[in-house]
Amino acid sequence: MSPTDEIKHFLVTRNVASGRTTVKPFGSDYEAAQVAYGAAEREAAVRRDLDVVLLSADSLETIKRTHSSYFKSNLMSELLPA
Amino acid sequence: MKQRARGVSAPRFSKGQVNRAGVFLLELRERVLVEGAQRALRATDEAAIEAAREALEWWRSLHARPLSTVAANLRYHVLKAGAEVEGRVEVTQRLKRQDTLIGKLDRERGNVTQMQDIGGVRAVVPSVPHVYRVRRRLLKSWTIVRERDYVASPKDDGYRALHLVVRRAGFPVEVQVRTRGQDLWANAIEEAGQQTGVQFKFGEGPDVERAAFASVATLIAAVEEGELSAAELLTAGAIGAAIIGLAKRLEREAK
Repeated sequence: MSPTDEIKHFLVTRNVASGRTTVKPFGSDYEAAQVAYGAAEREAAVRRDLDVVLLSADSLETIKRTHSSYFKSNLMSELLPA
Repeated sequence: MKQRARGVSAPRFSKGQVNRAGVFLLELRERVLVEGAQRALRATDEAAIEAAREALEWWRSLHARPLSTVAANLRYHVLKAGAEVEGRVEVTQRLKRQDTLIGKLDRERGNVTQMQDIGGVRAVVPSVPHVYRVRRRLLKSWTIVRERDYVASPKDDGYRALHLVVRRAGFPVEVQVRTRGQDLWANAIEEAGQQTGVQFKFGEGPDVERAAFASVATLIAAVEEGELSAAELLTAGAIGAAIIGLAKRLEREAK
């Protein structure tokens, strides 16, 4: 692979209450992704249960690995007594 | 070049306007905390909120291109340093969320236009020697404006990573290089924060839990550096779970 091209942009929204994550892909259109990011942040500002972030990598797989907190329940919270 | 056409070359706001927008949204955030979102938002001029958001978004958008350039460079250096994880170059870039940006203003009382991590890029690599192998390559080809080595000197909460700030086209980009274990730990802290509303990564939370997180970070480092085997860690985990179970039973029986 060439490390310099094929970067894709993803708007990642996690509903903190339900633990569900939705991903909106924008391909290589960073500008459109940023516009959507701003709109999603406006929604999140009045709904406190949404965490939204714009992440970019060669694939969604990479993002799931480097930003795993947005995608799955983690080991640590299970280690701690409730 | 689309971004340029949108008006990046002709500034839409001055730095002063961007900084005042940050202060405005910080004050709004404080009102939201005191009065609740509905009341605070009703009491504030909607157009002023929108103008402030637009100023911050514009400032953030200026970091997009420098961020992409640095991320592409970092991918190259991770690959050249042989620092892929299971054959993958694990590099992700992110533009900072407005609310975390405002939260940081709250904690550090700085200016928006002086923030160095609006554009951030993270590389996850297999081991501590790989962190430093990547670092050596970056130091050779980049001018680093700030370095914080939390691998050599972990934060009190257990956080470990190498942080570098580099400038591209006049804008700072923060680079984080972490091992797989350091990254799992940091994501766990982040997630614990999301689930509980307690911002562990900013020093909040009960002492017992923070001490537990810090101990786990030390154990992960010991495994990664070969001082502790995974089997020993699992045994330690099982003992820990048994102790917690016992403590809970004693607590119940004492009631």
